[in-house]
Amino acid sequence: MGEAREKEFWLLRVDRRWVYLAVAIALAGPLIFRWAMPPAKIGTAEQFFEVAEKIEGGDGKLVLIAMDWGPGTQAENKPQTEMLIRHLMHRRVKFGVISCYVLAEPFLLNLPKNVAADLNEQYEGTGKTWEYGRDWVNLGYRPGWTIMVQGLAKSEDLHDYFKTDANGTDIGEIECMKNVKTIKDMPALGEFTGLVGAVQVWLQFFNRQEHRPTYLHGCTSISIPEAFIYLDSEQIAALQEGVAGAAYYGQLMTEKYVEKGLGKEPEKASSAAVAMTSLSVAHFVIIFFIAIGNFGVLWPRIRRRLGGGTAS
Amino acid sequence: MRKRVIFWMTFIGGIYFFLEFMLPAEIWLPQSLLTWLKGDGTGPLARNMLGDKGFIFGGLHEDISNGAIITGVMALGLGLINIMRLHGVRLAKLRKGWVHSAGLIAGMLITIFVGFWHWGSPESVTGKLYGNIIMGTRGLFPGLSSAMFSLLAFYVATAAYRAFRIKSGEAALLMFSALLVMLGQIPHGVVFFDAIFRHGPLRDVSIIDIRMWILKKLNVGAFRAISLGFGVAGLAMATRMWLSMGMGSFFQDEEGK
Repeated sequence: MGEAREKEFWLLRVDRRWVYLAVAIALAGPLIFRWAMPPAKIGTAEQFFEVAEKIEGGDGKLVLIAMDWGPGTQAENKPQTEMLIRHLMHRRVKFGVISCYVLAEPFLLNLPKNVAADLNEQYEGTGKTWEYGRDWVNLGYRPGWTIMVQGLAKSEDLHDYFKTDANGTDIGEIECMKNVKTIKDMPALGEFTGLVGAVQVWLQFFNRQEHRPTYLHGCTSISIPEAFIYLDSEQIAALQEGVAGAAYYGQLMTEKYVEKGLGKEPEKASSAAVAMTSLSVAHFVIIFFIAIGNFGVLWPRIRRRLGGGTAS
Repeated sequence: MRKRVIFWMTFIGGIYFFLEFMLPAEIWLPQSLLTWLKGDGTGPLARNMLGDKGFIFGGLHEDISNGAIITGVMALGLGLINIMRLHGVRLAKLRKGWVHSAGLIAGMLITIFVGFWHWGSPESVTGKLYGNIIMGTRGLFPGLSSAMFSLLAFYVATAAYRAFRIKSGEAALLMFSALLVMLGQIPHGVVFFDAIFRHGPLRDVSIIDIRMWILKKLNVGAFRAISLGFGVAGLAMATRMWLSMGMGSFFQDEEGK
């Protein structure tokens, strides 16, 4: 075995630590220098933007955002969720954040708060403000997965079902929840996750015979192939594919809401675009190593065919 | 006896949730029977399980769901007992690896202590400790968790280097489709593809469209087949659990096997 390994062409036995180093440099470079390339056009992100643009808002309507993700997949799910929250806030559509995943708790609290703070700063002096309770509600982490979602869909009085928000405030006292009584008052569900089976639970149980909300889904890159089956069957109306989808969605948001002068100043390069550029460089490093590996497989054969000796 | 109780509880629980999902919201009953059952309308049956047209099978679903959630949460207690039995004993007897067990138990106890203490007072010292330092978005736990997950990037890179080698026709197909999907979703990939094929016969073809075609046409069919397999297997497993067919090993001692 050892002898066979010794005879292997050197391109086939590059030490894994070199690969690690190359990937680390490729990932860190754009993140450190905030280098952002225009993202690739992702058709599904465009569709997501259009669907989110048509969601009905107004009094007595609440979009539910299920943030079933935690620190492990925040690199992809956080920018996706942030983009939808930003979009809904721009459109003044009220929303509630909820999670079936306990590790999402800090993000449920901080993500909408940070987006609101950013918008409040951007629109300072224009009279436009965003605040907790009026524009969004944090419904917190709710245990029980399938049973919780089933109960939520069947509940005839969501005030009684939730009782309080994540801060312990009575749901009835929260302005954006006042006229939201059942799932029928929820025109859409945004579900973001990297967990296996999470979206299926919402798709199966978060509906009623007389009402099926518009499903928007954001998944990690690894679960894109699976998510496509639900997009193809139109069970989900729109899909954000990993951070690539979030980056393109961010660009569409900038084109629609910032460059037309609605915001005071253009937004900084979005974190999704920077992350995407970083991943893009890392992808090329991976492709480079795949090419090296294959060259290592083919070169000895070519040399033999050309009548040369064995490579070493 | 214990086995029978568990069997019947599982069976009733399983059939309840199945019927609750399958049956219509109200099961029609003759008006005369409905009026008789309702009585003066103040009883628990009339208030929760009888509608205008008939019997509401899921009338107590919210309470039953809460009960199921509470039962599920009890698993946390079981987890604690298991950890203490395994790692507590290892620590007490100073067996090999006791330092790691001590770290695990200390981490668990600190989290429990701070977690309980911070309830209702997020502004307290322990509340801030829990909310910012342990569980905050930039806290200890999310940081460690993200670090664990990000290791995947490095493993994926080395795995791709070692696995994507053209040693057969299937391997070549897998590698080229992976390459096309990768190139189609990254900004550099689009620029790279356009630069190479700008003047050739593929000048009107976009890598983004190729990626989309692979995902929508080739992938969807294959994944549906896999999902169908999952579904059937899940159904079989659920049926086994519902009928308590898999619990033999838990009762070997009781049966004297």
